Amino acid sequence: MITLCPKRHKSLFLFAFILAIGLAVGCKKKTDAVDCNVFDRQAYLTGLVEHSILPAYLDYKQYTDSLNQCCQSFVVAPDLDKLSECRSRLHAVSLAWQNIAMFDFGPAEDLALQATTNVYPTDTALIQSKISTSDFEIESVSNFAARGLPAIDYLLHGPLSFTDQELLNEFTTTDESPDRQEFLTLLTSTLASQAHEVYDMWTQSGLSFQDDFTSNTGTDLGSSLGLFLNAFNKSYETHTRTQKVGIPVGALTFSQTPLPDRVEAYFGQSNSQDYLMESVVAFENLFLGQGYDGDDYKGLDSYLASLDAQYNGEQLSTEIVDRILSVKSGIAAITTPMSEYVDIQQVEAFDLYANMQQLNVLWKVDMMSALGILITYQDNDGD
Amino acid sequence: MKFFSHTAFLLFATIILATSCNREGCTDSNALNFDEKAKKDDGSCTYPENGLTIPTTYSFEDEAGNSTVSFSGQTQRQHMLIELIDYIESANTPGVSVDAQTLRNMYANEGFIWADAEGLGLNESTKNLKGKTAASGGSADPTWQAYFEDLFDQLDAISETTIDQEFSGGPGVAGVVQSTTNPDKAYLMNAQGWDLAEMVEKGLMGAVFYNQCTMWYLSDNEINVDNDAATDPENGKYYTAMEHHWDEAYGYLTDGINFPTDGTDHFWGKYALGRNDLLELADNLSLAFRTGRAAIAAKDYITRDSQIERIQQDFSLVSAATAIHYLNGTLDNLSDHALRNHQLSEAWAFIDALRFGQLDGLTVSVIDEWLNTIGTDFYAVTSADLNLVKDELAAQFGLGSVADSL
Repeated sequence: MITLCPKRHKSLFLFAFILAIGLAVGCKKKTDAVDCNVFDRQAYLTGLVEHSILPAYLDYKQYTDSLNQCCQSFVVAPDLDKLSECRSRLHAVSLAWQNIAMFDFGPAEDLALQATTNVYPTDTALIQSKISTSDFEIESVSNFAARGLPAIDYLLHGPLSFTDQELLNEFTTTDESPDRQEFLTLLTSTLASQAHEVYDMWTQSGLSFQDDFTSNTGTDLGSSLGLFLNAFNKSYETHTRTQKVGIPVGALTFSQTPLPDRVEAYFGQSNSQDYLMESVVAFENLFLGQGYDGDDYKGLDSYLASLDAQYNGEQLSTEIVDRILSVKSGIAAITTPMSEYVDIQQVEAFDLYANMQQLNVLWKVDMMSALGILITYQDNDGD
Repeated sequence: MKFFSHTAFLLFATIILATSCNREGCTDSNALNFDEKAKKDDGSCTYPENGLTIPTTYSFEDEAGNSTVSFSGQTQRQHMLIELIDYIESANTPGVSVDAQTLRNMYANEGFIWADAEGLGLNESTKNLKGKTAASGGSADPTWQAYFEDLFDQLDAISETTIDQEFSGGPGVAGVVQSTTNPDKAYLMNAQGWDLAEMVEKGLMGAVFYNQCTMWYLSDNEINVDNDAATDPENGKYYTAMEHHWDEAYGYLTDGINFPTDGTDHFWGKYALGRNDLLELADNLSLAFRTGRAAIAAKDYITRDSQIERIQQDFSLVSAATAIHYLNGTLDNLSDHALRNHQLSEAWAFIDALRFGQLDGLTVSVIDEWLNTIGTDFYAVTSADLNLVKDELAAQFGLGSVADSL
């Protein structure tokens, strides 16, 4: 059925489609709505993998290598230039991370990539004590708050009160300096090796997750679209909406007191809103089928359009696009470091959070029910 | 030519689109799985065995029209556990303490005044949870009773030390642990990260409800009893001993006769429903219980015994699949101490519960090995170990294809 819809037959096909819907309307009602549409899920999955997932993972892998190389050479002879260089490479890794954070299924899930890469606030006391006691164990879950990007952010930027020279001294002149150096490179090399591992699991013949993923084209619970869209929604809801914005603005606590030190990349200060914007744009691109490599494919918006999914008498995809725009303009209006913004501009910050929440509902409830895919990631048992 | 090919294409596309929408299923209204929306029969119809009439709900009557169904004792025990857990969970709020003696009294139903909001007669009841703990051998197992009472003691000791508004629990430190990703969620945990409320709740679901249902009431000794005379018709007991034992087994799965439409608020009924979308376990258990009960009324013991096997198998699947469900939840929340440990406690207890049912090729030492692999310190678990246990559990129960979706 799907191979029967080449673009040049568009108008005729539309006619056939309408006719078929007319004939099939009796069964369209309940279970099989999705089977009656003409969206090519196989092509979507292939586009998703080839133009979004793999190029983003490749970039991430290269940036983690570059960060690791920088830190390895920094610890050999620490100086301010190298420190500054490593910081900018950390920034590049963190931006790339925003483009893969939502692929938390399959290989990434097997390696617990999310939980080992971007858990914040980082536990500075734990990091300090591990360095002081030469304890380099980071595999058990109780140490996850001492590894990944936030821990590297802390090591490369230091406590807010530190000057760059003071931070440099920590790596050069104290008794603990050798352990601090070792801990930093342990974190950056682990980050890089995990990035390689995930990329290999997706691509290497023999263990390629890619083939399984693109061939499982249904919409049922174990289908690739089910896996991906559950991860997509969970990542947006938990990591982008709640962690990047909701918790720092205080929207999730009863007192609604802002928690500035809960922002992402707290020690890098000026970077948090860049990561927020990058994250939202990454979700937008996945929705619209705009590849990370610059090539476009038919995205979820086309899928919704092919189903004629409506929202208050409008196209649902239009509503989603509009909502993304207002989220983006809210983020673009952040001109101070995020940790100051949540404190000083609480009204705007709450507006931004509310918009992000709206977008969450559109994706999680309206889009998913239009596509006929179950949300499975929450604890359905309710306790 | 062009017109022709377009027409052919159009016709072809129309036919394919239209036929792909004809729902297939069982179209025979006499079948157990009749699908009224199905247009085309796909040969999947299944029929009552030996001409048994299977009611659509768990309702059975004698020839005079008196209901022969009774499982009030099981419903009472379920509600005792509900109150016990509600009380324990009050200690998830820092500054609220629970008392070990009170917990012991609730567990043994000794000198405790139940709220009994639904008027089930809990305060007049002689039933209790303690006396049925791991009791499928005929009497309760003191080792398991001591296990639960030790959890009560830990709850008492830890909750004593918590202070209003302070979430002091964490790695190696007993106390209330607050979620970092969802601050609404907080759980009292011991120093190893055990969510003690979950250990008690899911633990007793296994050691009492599951064990009593599948290994006591459905055992040879308990099910091969009199099936000729009503037990005590003068006092409203119109059921035979065999019918009653079957009902008592059912009462540990659910307290609703229209399960899984009703009777899914708590415990096994709730978790069977939770696995129903993917595995149809609630539907299957409901059908097996109704079929077996109808078979007993018809004195068809071959059918009865085949349903016992199905019940034992599907019940263990509920526990295994729910354990995998919570292992997935654990893996999804690895870096959040509160959510991870909370879900891992549930996974742990559902794995542990397997030992209380029909093992069917599984051994107790394999269950112990899985628990060993996870390790008793929930702050020291690794994703590799959790994935290993998940994969082995899935393989053992034939759940490999759905394990990631559970």
